[in-house]
Amino acid sequence: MNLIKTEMKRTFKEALNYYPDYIVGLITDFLLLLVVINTEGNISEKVIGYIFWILVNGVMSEASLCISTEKQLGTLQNLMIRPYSIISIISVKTLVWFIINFVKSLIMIGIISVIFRINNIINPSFLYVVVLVCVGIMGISYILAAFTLMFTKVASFVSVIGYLFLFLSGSIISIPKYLEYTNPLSYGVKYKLLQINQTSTIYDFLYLLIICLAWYFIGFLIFKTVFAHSKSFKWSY
Amino acid sequence: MIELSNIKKSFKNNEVLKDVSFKISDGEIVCLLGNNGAGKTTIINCILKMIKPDSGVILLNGTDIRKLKNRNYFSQINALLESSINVYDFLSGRENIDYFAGLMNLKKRDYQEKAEKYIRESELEEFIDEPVGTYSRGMQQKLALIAALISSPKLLLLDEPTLGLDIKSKLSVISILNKIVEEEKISVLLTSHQMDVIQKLKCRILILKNGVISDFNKKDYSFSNVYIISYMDKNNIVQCEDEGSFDSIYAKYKDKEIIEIKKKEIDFENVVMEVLDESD
Repeated sequence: MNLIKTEMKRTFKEALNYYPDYIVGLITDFLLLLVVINTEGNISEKVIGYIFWILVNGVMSEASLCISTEKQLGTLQNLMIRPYSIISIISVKTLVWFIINFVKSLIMIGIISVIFRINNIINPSFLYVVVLVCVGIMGISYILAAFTLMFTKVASFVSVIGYLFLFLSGSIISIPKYLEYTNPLSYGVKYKLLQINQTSTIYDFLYLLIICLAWYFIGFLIFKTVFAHSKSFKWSY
Repeated sequence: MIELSNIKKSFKNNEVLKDVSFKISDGEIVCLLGNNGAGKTTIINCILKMIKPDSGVILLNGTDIRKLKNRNYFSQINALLESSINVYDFLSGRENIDYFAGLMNLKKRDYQEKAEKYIRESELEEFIDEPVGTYSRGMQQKLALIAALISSPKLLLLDEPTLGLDIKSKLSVISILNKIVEEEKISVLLTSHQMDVIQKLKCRILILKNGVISDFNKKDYSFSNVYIISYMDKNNIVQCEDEGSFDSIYAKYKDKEIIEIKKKEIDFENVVMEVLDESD
């Protein structure tokens, strides 16, 4: 809890310091929303995919960006000699970014409700699906962070991967059926739409649970393994 | 406190640490001297579990550090790393202290009093709420030292803590370090190239050369019985060296017009350089 409080304070201070970046981010998200709305297909479905994407995008990129930034600042070693493990620190940083993105998505939902008259996007079932999807995406985030530990430049490609996931959310184009079963975001959106259409079954939920937990644990293990091996040779931070 | 036994570490074919053994007692400052690439930082990284030694064991209060959980181990150890930036520019001095205290799982009430004391002693009160980006290198290093000390570590590892500092900042860091170690009985392992820093610290010196550690005893190189005598001789000042006790020297030269008799002091830097450069 102390770590969450600590990271929260630091991140908000950072956000206040670099607020133009966040304003630009918000404007970019709004422009993307306009693109999403103007593509073919059911607007409600697209908006749900888009809101999911806003929430998971930060979760997916934060761990990798954190490793890359701390490596470039020269503060990574300093984080590694703390009572908390590096995986706890990056997970908490990601949680803080999830909270920030949640606020951002609330703003987007507000805009969508006012401009496009689409309501009832957020309800309790939306929240638990989002949390599950974010757990799965966290696994992908750990994998990217592990690669960033080895090659700092991986972080430069994270935003591209983020936009790739915008396509996988189905909010820009319809994705092939088989892709829906490969990652937490695509399946999360599919499950949410099944819920809205009241055709979801317990098996759909179980599949969502399995795919999210599987990605999480695979990512966790990859990060742990890469990090453990990083100690057997000389790092150049 | 901490004991390293037979530590070996190679990087590819380069055997950096061949057989490193030493220990640091409670409240002791140990300075590790060695040429560039001698392996000083590798030793620090081994103690910080950032590099696994190929063989050997490191004991903290008798327990193998590999058996200690990080949560427990890193609450007893803290470090200022030369290759690492130890503070964040966009946070103020106080926010940096709070942030690193949070990372050490400290509650404000546990460190606030101590932090205020260190801030006063480091003469940072006036700037503590300013962003660290506006600090000089010396002020940043003093702040980093405060952030490392508020967790009351039992062992503090300092890798070149005064590198790049001007004389005033250097002296200030040394005096803070001497004072805090004496008051709090913290053990310190410090690496430095700067002989003036090492001379001013109340420390034991270890030399790391060719992958092994040896004790450097200042007394082995001191001129305990050599005096420099200055006296007047036919309107000229004459200076000479002589060996013996002060009384015997005085007795020998008392008939001359003595200006000064002083003990010959060693040129510490030269002696250390000679030790480091000695061929095998």
